[in-house]
Amino acid sequence: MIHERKSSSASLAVWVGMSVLLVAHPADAADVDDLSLDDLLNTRITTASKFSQRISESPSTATVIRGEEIRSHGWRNLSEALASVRGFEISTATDYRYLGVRGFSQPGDYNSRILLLIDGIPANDGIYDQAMIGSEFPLDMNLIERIEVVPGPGSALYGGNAYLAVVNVITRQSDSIGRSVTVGAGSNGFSSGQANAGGRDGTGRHWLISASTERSTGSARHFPQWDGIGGGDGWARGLDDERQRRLFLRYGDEDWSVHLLHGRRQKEAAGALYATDFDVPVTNIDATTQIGLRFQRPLKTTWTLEGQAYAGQFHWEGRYRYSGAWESDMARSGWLGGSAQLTGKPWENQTWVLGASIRDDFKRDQENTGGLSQGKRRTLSLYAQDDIRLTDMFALNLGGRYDRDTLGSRQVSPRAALIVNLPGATVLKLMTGKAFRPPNAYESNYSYPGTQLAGGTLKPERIATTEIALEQALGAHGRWTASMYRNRFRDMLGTVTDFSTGLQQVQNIGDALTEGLELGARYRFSGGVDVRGSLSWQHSEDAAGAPLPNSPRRLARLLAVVPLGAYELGWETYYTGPRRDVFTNAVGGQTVSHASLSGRFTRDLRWQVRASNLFDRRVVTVAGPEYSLGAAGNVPTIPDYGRQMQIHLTADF
Amino acid sequence: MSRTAFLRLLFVLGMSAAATVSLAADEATVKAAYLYNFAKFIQWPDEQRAALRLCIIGDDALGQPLHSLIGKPVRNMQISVRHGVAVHDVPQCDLVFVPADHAQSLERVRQVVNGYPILIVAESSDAMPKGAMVALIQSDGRIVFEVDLAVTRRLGFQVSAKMLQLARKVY
Repeated sequence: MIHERKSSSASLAVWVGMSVLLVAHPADAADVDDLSLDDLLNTRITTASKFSQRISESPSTATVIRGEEIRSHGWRNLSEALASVRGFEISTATDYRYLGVRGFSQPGDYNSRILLLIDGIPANDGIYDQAMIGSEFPLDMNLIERIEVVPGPGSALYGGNAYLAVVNVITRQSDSIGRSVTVGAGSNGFSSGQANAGGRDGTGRHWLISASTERSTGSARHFPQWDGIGGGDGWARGLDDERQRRLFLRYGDEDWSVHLLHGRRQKEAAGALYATDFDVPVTNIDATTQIGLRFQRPLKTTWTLEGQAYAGQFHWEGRYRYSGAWESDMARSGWLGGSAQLTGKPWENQTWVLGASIRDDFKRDQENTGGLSQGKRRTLSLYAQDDIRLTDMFALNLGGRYDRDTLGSRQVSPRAALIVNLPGATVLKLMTGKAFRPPNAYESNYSYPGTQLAGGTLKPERIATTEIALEQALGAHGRWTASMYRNRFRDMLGTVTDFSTGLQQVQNIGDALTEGLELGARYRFSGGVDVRGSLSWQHSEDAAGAPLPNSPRRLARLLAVVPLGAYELGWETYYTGPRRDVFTNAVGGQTVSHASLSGRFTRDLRWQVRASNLFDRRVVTVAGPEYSLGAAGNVPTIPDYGRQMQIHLTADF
Repeated sequence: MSRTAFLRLLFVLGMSAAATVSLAADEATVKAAYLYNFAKFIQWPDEQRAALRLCIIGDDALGQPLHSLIGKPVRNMQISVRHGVAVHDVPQCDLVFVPADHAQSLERVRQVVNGYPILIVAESSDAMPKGAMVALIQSDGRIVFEVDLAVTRRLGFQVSAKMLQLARKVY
């Protein structure tokens, strides 16, 4: 009897179990192709079980430039995209392009005050801490998904060089790229070629390969100060040649990827830099190869582990001619680094980020006729951030990072932000933070007999920022932002030039202040017209109360993407207000516009025409002191390019 | 058959009957399955090629269920998937899915499609007026669909009668 009862209850359990299995059997355990149209109409949707990433308000006023915008405007290097960011300004010298942020733009600083990340991996080189944003930028713009630009001190998360801004370039997914070949031609002997292919299989494995090259014979430019010197007419002709190549390879899986990027640019620079001969250009070769590995792994409950490991090398060569005699300089740097970061929610209302990173600049060699200087550096860092949702309305973000290097630098960079969600989709942010920039190997160690003395023992420069911002959503189609900021600079590093002897030296030149008000808006109208604009009022002063050089008092930008039936027009207008040159003379305001038109010949063949400086305006860039060391004396500004046209044809496969 | 056994069988059959009516699945699977079915029940005017290119605008809203479609056969073609596709690249697609969080791109997608035989599938109740050819709409805890027959006919698509029968609305 007992035996029978047991077996019947057991078999009842089996029957009930089977029934439960039939009812609760989730169709997603079956293959997607098991569901017919009839089935689908009768299927109830369950809420997605994946961990919903709460889009917590970021403690900054970031600008995101989408890949679509890069294509609509036909931008070919990072500086052309960054020029469109509120409060940013690009100076085009004959050798490199420099980025000014919120009124601070020291000509010739190699953009060491900007941290450039490619998919989160630091890309600044090891000698100049240079963010290569001009045509030497080693990634093809075609490969970019979006660019996240965060102005303000980022050292609390990213360490030194995240001083004025952090720019994170995020690459496109491998299978979004497809296969294509592009050829281009344009004014000033411009020609280019580019090819890419990428894909992804059903298991999540993905791959991508892209290669490109570009060449231009450049433009003649007039330097009035050189008119009559040495029998010349001040025209620099045929001294602007540029050639460049890039390679990008990537392979990975759902949770990891490894990439290799390579870029090499050789550019001639006119203008008798560093007292070289005027009729012969300075040649700069910048080449970098970088490898990065990234992985991500969700841990139990709400935690995720992210890690990266990277290695890079940067090689620079400069060729100069002084009074008929050729000389060359070289710099080589190699670096290795890695970091691990844990993100999670130990409590319901807090998100923590904890991280550690190391970097070994194992080679930082600079070589010139004066000799070889070397200087290794290892940096160890720890950082943490806590995002606390205090109430529905208030959130507090606190963070800090400790950086310690083998050259004696020990820095703590704190940051705090209060984020208030006001009714009506308005957000108020109050932010304050500190950042630092250690002297780079060039500033500390580079010396050249008769021209430059080594910097020696230099203090890191520091910045303290306070910012108040208001962000307002405009329906689902746009938003505007207003922001007021004040940056206090301490122990700024700069080149001091003695014009009588022609000797230069990098020194801690003192304190400075920049403050300003920025207004920005973007809106997508029905019909697809997308407009983005900004206005900035900027004020700067050094310790003596005089305005900083190359600090425009006003900036304005207007960008629009306008669909015109089968064509698309991308428009840009930039206004740069009055500023001072390095000799404290006034330089007037200027406006420049660019336009790009694109369309298709057939479904697989598309074209794009771009005119930069469409109205052929006379545009100038404030020159760094390196242009004023020669026989012509002071050269306060450099002429920028006139109108240039380019056309590109792309075939998709 | 004993009485208890018969009751048990009835119980299980009853449950199975209930099971066919209340299938449950997560959103991504349902949407991916719909895209596969649309590809099966619609004929493109130009099918002399190896791949039927299925694209999704923006980051991967459909996850693994969409990836499981890679390589699946549809008549004499195989499905290939591209996600994160930019609006500019839509002409390289045969079917483009515009997820709800990219609804503002729908107008641009329609402009870019411009008469090419590309099937636009979008989500939301106002997707049709904005340019969708097939719209997925959430209704009463399920997802149903509507078809713009006029536009699809004009572009050369042939939509099967069975699919039109099951559509909630045909324009």
